Amino acid sequence: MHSATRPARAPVGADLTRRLGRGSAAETAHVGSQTLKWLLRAPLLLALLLPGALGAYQLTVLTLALVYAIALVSLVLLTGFVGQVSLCQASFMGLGAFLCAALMGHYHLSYWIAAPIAIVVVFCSGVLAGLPALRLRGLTLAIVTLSLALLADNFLFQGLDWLNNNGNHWVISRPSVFGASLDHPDALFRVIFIALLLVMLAVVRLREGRTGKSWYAMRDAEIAASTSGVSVVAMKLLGFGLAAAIAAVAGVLYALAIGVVSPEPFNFVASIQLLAIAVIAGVRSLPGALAGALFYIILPQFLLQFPTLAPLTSLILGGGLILQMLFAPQGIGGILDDAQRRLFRRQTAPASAPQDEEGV
Amino acid sequence: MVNPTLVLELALVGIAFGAIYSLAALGIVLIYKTTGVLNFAHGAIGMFSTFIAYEFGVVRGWPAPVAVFLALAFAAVFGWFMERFTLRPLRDRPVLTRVIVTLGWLLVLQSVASLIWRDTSYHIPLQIFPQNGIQIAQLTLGYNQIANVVIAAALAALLALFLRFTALGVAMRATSDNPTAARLLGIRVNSVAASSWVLGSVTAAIAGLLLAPLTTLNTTQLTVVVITAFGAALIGGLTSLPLTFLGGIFLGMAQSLLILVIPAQLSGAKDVLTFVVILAVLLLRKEVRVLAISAVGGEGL
Repeated sequence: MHSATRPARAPVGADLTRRLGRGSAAETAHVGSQTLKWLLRAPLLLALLLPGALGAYQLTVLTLALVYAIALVSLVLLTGFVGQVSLCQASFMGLGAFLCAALMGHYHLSYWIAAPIAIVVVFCSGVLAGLPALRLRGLTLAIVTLSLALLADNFLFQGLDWLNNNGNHWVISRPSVFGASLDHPDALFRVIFIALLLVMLAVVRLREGRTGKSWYAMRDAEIAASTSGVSVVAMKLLGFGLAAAIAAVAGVLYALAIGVVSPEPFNFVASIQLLAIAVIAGVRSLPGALAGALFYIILPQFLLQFPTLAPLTSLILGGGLILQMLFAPQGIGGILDDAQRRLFRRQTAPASAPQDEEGV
Repeated sequence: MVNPTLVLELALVGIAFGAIYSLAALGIVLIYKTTGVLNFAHGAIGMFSTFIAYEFGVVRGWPAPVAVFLALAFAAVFGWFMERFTLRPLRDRPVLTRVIVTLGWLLVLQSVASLIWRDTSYHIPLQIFPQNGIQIAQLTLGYNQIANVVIAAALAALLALFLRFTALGVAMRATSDNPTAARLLGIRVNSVAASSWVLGSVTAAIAGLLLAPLTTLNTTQLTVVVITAFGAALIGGLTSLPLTFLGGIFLGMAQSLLILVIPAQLSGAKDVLTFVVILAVLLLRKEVRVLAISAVGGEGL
């Protein structure tokens, strides 16, 4: 790319989010407060009722879907709020899972100590991974993060003996909470459900506060934001760090839910799949993240009944991604947000007409 | 003490790999320069074409030239299809949207290949060249290695001649320099875009066919070659074909020589190297590019 020899193309920067979501920051924040209420009402009921109503197998599948919902929240935060592309989010998830397992395996730490340490370490590595984003954007950032995903898979998860138990899988012994062993699917479901709820609440709070406003301002107009006193460096690094940490939360919970940590679920294809599902679901939408996660987990489980069809997941996600880019840019999340708005009959006028439509 | 023969042998192996990375990278740069799209599915196209050659040449036992032809034909048609039906409609959309479409194709190709040829089993790649080699003093030079370097260099030279002397080549360069002016001058920008996708995809297929006998043929290995090819393309600033070629050779040699300094069992060290190179090139490109381009003499396709 050489600006002197070619006329200005559409900007390379945070176009993805700009094009996919239509809302201005104010409108999104408004949807956010609704999300908060929505979060507090229905799901708590579900959490009480579901474990009794479902069989152990369905409950396990649903638990895994909640784990991936957390992973997708990390992408919603990074891509949707901060406006940065990441093709290595599954790697942060894997790093969290492997670190947690390695700390438990090598130093016989309890899960409740190992998991937070893993999350903090991944937060720091997320900040480090965010450093290139201070100078790179769009395309080049996509290359760097995909290359990072490959590095994490081949060098860390498959290459480092300390991390991967000399090439054997880690087996996690599940702890107990308040006397209830997490080997029991009901207890496991409730713990992971509460974790998802806390993560989503935290993210919604963050989005509606000063941090979120800074992110939106930076995403929509970086230079303008920096002249208005937003520290672009701090905000970007914070975004990368937090997104990595949330992915790590998903990772340590994955270890808990599956009980085994191995490299396959965290390879570079998984990272691309995560981005695909986030884009299909709508990169700005938290309900979209939930819907996307349910789809992402339940579809392969359904396909497992026909073992030869397992790779179909990638086909459906890839095909969905292409078709959506061509025909339905706002994603499932956009549709859900609309439905939600109608459901709550909050017909406040859209805060302002979106001004960033030049790429559409 | 490092054995000089070993160093030389590793360097030669590295050049054989590097030549292929260069070839793949040339396709990436060609497509990027004429259409502004960075093709993340480049490796996947190469992988799928290689599997087509495997299907016909190895599984069905058809003659190797026919299998190779079918593989290249697939790549050409697929490149055309991808541009015509999934990228051209998005031409006025932001770059990242179109890049995401190529990521979608990466997933699709890998998934379909896994469905047809299975992920897990071992595949014997189609051997185009004899597997033995010639002996010079203490060095063994595989015919594969020689052929890789010769073919890659010849194709790169052909590409350079094509861009310089044919009408379509000149149209491609014009489009890459200034699409609007090119269109105003009556160049059919659409057919230029389609041609560069066809050409670029065929380079991916050739790269895959040449690389498969040197590595393992499965649905992942060739797909991720795209990262190394990106590295080479970035060394060329996504612009300069000669620098891109040198970049590929450099990456191939560096990856190969890495064994001298890093214990062999530490897998993935190559990926660390690629990552570091990509990062260094991207972060220092403004500083380095001025020097590099003045050294090679001019830029542009």
